[in-house]
Amino acid sequence: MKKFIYEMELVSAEVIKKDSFDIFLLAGGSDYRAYEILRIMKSEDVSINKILLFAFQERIQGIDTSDAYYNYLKIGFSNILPIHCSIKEPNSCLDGLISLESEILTAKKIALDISCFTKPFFFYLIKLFKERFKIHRITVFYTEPQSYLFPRGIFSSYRSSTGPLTILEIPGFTGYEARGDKRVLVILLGFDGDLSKEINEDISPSETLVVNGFPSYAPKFKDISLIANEKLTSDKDVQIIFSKANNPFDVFNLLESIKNKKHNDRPFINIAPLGTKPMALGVCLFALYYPEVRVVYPLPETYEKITTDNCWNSWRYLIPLNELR
Amino acid sequence: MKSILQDFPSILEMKKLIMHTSATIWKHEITEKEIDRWLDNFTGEVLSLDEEKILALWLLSNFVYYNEDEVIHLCRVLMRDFIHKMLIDTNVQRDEIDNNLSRIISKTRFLALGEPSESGGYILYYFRQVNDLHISYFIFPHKIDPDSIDNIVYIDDVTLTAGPGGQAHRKLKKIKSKYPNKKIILLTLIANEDSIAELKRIGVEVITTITLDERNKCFCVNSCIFHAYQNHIETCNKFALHYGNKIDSKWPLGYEHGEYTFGFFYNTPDNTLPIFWGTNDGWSPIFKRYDKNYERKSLVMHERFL
Amino acid sequence: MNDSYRNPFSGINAGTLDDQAILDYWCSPFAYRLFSEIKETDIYEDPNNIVLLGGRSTGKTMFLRYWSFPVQLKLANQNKDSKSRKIIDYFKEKKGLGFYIRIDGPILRSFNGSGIDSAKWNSIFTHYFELIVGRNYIEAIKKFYESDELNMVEVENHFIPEVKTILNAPQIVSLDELLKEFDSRIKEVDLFRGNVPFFKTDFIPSKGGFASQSLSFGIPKIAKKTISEFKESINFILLIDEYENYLEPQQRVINTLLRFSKNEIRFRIGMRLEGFRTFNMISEDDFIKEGREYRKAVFEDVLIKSKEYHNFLKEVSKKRLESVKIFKEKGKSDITEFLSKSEDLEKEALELVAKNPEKHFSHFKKSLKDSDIDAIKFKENPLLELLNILWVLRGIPANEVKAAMEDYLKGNTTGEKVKKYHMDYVDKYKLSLMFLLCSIYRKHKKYYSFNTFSFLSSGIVGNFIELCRRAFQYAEFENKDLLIKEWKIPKEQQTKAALDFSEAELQQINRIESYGGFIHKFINNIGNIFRDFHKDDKIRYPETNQFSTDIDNLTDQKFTDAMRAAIKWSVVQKKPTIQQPSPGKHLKDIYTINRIYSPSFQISYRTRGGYSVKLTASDIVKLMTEENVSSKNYLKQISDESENPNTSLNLFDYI
Repeated sequence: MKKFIYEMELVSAEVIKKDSFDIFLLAGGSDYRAYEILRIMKSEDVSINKILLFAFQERIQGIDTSDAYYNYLKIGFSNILPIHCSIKEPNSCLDGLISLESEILTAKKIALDISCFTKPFFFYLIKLFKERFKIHRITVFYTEPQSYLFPRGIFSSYRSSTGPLTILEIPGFTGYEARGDKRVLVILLGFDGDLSKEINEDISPSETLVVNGFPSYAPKFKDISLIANEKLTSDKDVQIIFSKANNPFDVFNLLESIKNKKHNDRPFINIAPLGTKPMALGVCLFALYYPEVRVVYPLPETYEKITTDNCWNSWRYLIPLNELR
Repeated sequence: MKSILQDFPSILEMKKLIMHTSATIWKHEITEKEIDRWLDNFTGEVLSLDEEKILALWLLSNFVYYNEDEVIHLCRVLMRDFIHKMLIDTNVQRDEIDNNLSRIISKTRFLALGEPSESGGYILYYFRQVNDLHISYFIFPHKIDPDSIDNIVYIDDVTLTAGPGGQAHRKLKKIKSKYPNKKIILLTLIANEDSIAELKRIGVEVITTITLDERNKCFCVNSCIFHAYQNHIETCNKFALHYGNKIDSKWPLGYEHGEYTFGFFYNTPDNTLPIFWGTNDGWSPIFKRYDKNYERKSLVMHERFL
Repeated sequence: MNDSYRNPFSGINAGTLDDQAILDYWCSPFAYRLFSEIKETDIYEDPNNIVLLGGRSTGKTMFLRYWSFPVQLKLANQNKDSKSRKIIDYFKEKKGLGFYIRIDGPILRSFNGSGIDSAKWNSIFTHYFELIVGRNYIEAIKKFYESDELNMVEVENHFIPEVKTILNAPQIVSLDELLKEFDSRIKEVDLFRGNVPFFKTDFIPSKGGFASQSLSFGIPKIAKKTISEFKESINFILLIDEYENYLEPQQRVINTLLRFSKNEIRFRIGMRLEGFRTFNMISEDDFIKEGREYRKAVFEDVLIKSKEYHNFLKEVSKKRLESVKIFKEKGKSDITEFLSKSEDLEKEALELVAKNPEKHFSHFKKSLKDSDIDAIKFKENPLLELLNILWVLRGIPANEVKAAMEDYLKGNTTGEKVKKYHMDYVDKYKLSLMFLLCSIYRKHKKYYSFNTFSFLSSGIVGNFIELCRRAFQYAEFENKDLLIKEWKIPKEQQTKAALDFSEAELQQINRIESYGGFIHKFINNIGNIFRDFHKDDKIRYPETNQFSTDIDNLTDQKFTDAMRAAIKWSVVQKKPTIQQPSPGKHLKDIYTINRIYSPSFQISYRTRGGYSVKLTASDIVKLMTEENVSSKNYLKQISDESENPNTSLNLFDYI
């Protein structure tokens, strides 16, 4: 087995001022942490040639220029190019990116801030960069929230979305299933209890493994995900395993160990990355490395506009795409 | 400003939350009977009975309990973080990882911080098991051989006291001065920022799985617990202080003003609010603490037949 | 003792069970005569296609999987009484082989978008579906072959060569290789689905595509032609699950198969109510029709209207209780022991009034004379007191009421008055009186007992299981000793479970695709209207919890679609047969809201079949779009109707 020493750092002035990027991608959003990394980069005079801001029509609809969404205009970068697309269809950005193909292909340093992207979207982007643009490595940034918003403090009332849910395969991560094989579903728990239930019913696996993000961003978070999904987690037959909430490489290792343990059964592995975005990043890398694995995700009718409060730690991950098949 | 009764979830809602917590994390260790027994401690001396019940339940529903599976996982995480750090510090190239791993571990010895029978030793046992480490890598302090080892690694569960008053500081400072050219590392499950900084200052590197900051102090302005109820921090502080004083008048909010709300399956640290673990004067704890006996050296056995 | 306990109702979803577990947990609905439309032999023998309709958790998947080949094979092996008897004879006796086909929602939805037009996706889907079905067939034949159940020569020299010709795969010599070939072609489709969002390409299968019927009908035809064991009447039964997940173009493909299904190939399709997105076939001007291409059996329907449903639930519970060591060891497998068989309303009423036994009299003091009150008091039974109050308010002199009550209590059954008293109390008003009492005392009605949980489940087995799961969860937390030593769950814990689940299900309505918002408002409004009916202190229309309307006459199609979605998701349930909305009125469709919502609205969990709230088209729109609609206009319907409290006969569904 080829081994790697992963690179992951807490973002600080010292760390970030060494950086410079040809292209920086981020998602527009009203959450405070949408532009935290940009703010830090501006304050440390980090050089960025071009900033691609993914402007989701669903987030822009119905807001005016005083909305926090437009705070990126106040940061001071003048080279921001909006890429108009839809949250629900990741490949809606394809044409916009293809028009920049020559710049992307010649870029040496590309960064992606996943803080305000939806998971299906950044999965798509990373695979696009790897498969289509043949990018070798990207720097991924992520900013933790200081807190999540729980109505009246009741953890189980957290909802990331409203309206109906449709369980989809993340585009490009369909995996392949030999029909005779057992199905295993690995659910990385989030705070929204509705999601795991829907996915478990839709996929109907013969075995469900539940991964809890632990250690979590804040100590109590490791309980909240278990409580919110209590129907699943209180079942003594469901195995709960753990992986660090802020380390995608830990998640990769865990998933690989699951796959290896079940090697003889040759199961069709389905993964639902409902947990933190760094954990989802780990899933993305794993699924790129093992394309037979399927990644499923619940697409809601409407995402809640703001689900978190303020910012806390920011992280920087160096993702070696060329090491992945 | 809304009252406590209007603002916080109802007693029923919180009990339901705690029921789910007990089923999923606390392994059914806490039942409603125990909760009611604990709530009987609060007799309306600061606020009305109902208000005190609500605040107590609110604190309880925010208590973080680490069960055995979680502690075992943290031990695993500690080892991996240790290895990661060592590989980076020694600037290992990718194709040399396996060889270097062997070299690193052969030059490392693990010890429990503190006396035998303290929690460090307990954690050391899990640490060895879950990481499948050879027993020869675990030694007592008097067996440190400076000629054959480079890395002296201590293991503990909680490091929350910064400064010379803390056990970690005292012991590790001595070790560092005895072995100035060796890497002295503390692997601890939980530490706070102040302790980490203070130990770094004396030349000890700290690797921890959970770093506590101001958000984890119950009554701090950035407290996670009162994020949605900032208006009630002061009242709750008063409440916890009043009853905490009955249990431990020196540290009514936990050792060194901890204000923490966590515990382990094997014990509750005294940095945690005493209202959770106290037993003085008939106080019924909800998460019992097994205190260390520093005073009585004589042995008292109550059985008739020995 | 503690370690051998676990919640008997947690986990276990039919989709996740392995074949043995399906057998272990199987309770035959035929043994309880739950179906009037189909019998057991129909599964394999009926030449018609059958569509099984039912909401989530009604047991469709369990049912379909039971009849599938792997599960039946296990059963055959378990029941094999003689070594000389072949397993295939078991299937010949049954006259069929079932092939369980479940293509999950995410896969079905992936045959869409990415710049490829619908017609192309449809061809790709058809090709994929044929491969899935074909693979299923080969897998079964391989199992028989490996157990020496089939003639080797027939398989190797005739069956395989013909199949490989269709596949255009001349190199294949064994069934193993056939399976691998199918896997590789299925993988081709999967890889295409994975790549198409990034590279706009056409799907060109390496060895040609499969048109509809080519494998799904073709392979059974070859099997019957070449393998003697299949020549006799073994039907190939395709058990297609979750049909509601198929997109409309995909349903057209399958609908076409239903039309052209041969005698030896039949379909049994499981889906949600209103699960058909279309009745069209591939050719747009043709469609399938109930009675012609298929007949249906409604799961919830049969479960709601059948008295045997309760016994069925007991059997389901028994299996679950027996799977827990402590209950098995102590022989505690009767759920009615834990929950109690039915409510004890008299006891409940006494507990309710204990702190203030006069309050219900004070409530009516403006309408009652003190002397009347003294006459009709009976502190041993507040429900009788309340009935007495009602009788007095209806004009019957207090002394006559007292006499009727005393006769009733003595067991005296002669006399018109006492007969009426008996009927009013026992058959008509007891539960309504309890609701009224709760309303007067401003306390929640308790929901407990096996009987109540059965009703609340609304014919959905999964709901019953969830109610029990929550009740056991509360019991474990609040008083485990009582649970595992006295085998009891107090009514307060059962009530909490019922309320919890009811609230959770109400919230889930918002998640219904496209119309969740409308439906949620509608249920909240109609539920509150029903609640106000229950609070009517003259109990003019006891336990009113159904409504009548004409869905097809709503002005805006979206509200019709919303109502259909509500039915599909079992939020609203249509009563099995057209009934009079009220005695003497024209026949109309009658609907109830799912009884699981009863605790949230504090309404009865039964349906008396008496009064139905009449909803016009504009009512439906109002209830779907506005918040907190006042129930005044609907209550006014009561006073507009001729008041006849004696109109409703004994119209309970069943008790």
